[in-house]
Amino acid sequence: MSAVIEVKSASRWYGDVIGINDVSLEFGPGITGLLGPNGAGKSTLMRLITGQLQSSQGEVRVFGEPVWSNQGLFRRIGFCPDQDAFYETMSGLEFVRTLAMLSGIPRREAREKAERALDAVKLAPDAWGRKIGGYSKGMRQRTKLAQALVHDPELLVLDEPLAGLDPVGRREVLELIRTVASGGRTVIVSSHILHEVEAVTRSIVIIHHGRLLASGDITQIRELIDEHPHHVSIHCSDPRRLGAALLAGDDVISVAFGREPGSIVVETAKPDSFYGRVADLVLAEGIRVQRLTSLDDNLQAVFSYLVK
Amino acid sequence: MATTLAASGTGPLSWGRSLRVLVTLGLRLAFQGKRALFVSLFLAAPVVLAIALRYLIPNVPRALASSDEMIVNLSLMAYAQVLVPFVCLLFGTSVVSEEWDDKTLTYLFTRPVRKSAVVVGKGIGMWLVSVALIAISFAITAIVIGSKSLPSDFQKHPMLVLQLLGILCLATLPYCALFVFLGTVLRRPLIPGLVIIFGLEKFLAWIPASVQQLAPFHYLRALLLPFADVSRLVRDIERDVLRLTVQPTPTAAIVWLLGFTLVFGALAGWVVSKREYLLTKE
Repeated sequence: MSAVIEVKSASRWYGDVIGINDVSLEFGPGITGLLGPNGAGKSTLMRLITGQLQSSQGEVRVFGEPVWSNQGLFRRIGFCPDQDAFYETMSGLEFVRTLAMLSGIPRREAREKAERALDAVKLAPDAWGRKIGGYSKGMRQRTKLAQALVHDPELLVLDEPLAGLDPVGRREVLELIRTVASGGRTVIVSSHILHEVEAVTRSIVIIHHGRLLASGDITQIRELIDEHPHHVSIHCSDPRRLGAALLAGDDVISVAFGREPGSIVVETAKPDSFYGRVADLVLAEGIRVQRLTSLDDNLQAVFSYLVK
Repeated sequence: MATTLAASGTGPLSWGRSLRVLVTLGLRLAFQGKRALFVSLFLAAPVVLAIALRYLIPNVPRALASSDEMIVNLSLMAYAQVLVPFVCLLFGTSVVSEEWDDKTLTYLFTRPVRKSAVVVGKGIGMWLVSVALIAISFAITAIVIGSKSLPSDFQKHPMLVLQLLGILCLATLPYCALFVFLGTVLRRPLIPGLVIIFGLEKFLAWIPASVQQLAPFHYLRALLLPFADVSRLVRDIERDVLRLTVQPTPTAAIVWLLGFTLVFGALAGWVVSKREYLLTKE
């Protein structure tokens, strides 16, 4: 299968600061997860791929052509930036429609396309005509996604698309990403949260300190990660009883009370087994869980472990 | 989502299609935030001054009492030297630098649109708004001034106002282009822009040497001065300095002002198509 994106020995520096360093990669059709902790170089790589930056060394080609200063290529690329930036006084519909027209969609079709994109990202229709300045974080994130999708691009580059979304929103966006990719498109999704990416693809690229750390199937990296003890924070109605029940299983190494009242921090060496058991346990014991957070989902901990 | 590609074609969008959208965007964004309100208040100053001179201050000296003299003085002293460049600074620099600072530039630069078209299209939109606001302010000022004219004054007044307005609108072109260019180079161009308006340009324009040819105000002044025959005030102030300088003919002045517009516009387009705009540091 031919590569849609070819990154050949690409480096990018910002003065003395390294963005990415000698990265060589190829991306083909389907979804690829781009993983790395904050500051790893994910956004730099995405901006190189979307032609916003020029590589200091090496080359970045998209659809076989150099992407820098190749504006014509942008008809085929959709980009969802990570920054929360908008024309605040525009409505969501106006914003997406304007960018649709700038993507080459004729004026008479732009409104319909914009509505379809906003519908696809599940932004409530009654919000379409309201000013973006009054949108919630989740609505803004959906609007950003809609502008990336509006011209039906063959390549979709999404920088932290799930940031700011609630769990329902995340599930919907992940489903949307799957749908988009199922049409044969190439989708690159960046995140610093492994579970998010894992939900939509097995193909991942990990970068750290601007260098390519690993790429390929997620299974291998998952095995490495699973050997590393995980810490999970649980806020619930009866932490003492839940902690005692969890300790009975051999997948839990330790349980400690968290800093916040009503929370416990569980250390587990078998996260898959643990997550399966905790759901059953909560139902059986009738304990109400307010929040369950994997403290190690921040990949910084995993990377520190991997690079040892 | 549809699987067919809606945005068909290969190269970047044509200039015509790009400009249609970008001019509209420029017009729209000109009114975003508090800038348009601030500019409107700023442009209300000569209106207030005119009301004060005409209705509130008794015994205005005869030198200021003629409506023609008053409007010429305001054109040269307030509009040409302060208001026009300042309004153009606020709108012109916003074309790129504001989007750069607000991080919305990404949306425009990841579209199949020439980067230079972004500058030209949005620049035209911002320029239209600048011209409209200046024209409204100037027209209201002229009406207030003319409303209490002597009948002999008032006959000439409308034509004079239209001529002065035409010159001021022409002056917005090079200033808008200059400040659009400044906004492509600097992320925060307001302070340097103010230094240019109230420092560098005025300094150059008043030096009796050939360097004054680098200041747009030099040509604007050359276009306005023939009207200053009626103004003793302006003539007295400038006579001593201006007799040391060579004033361009009106035709040459217009050509130079249009030349400045083209040069700064081309520079802005060139810079924006060549440079990267870093929104955040990695």
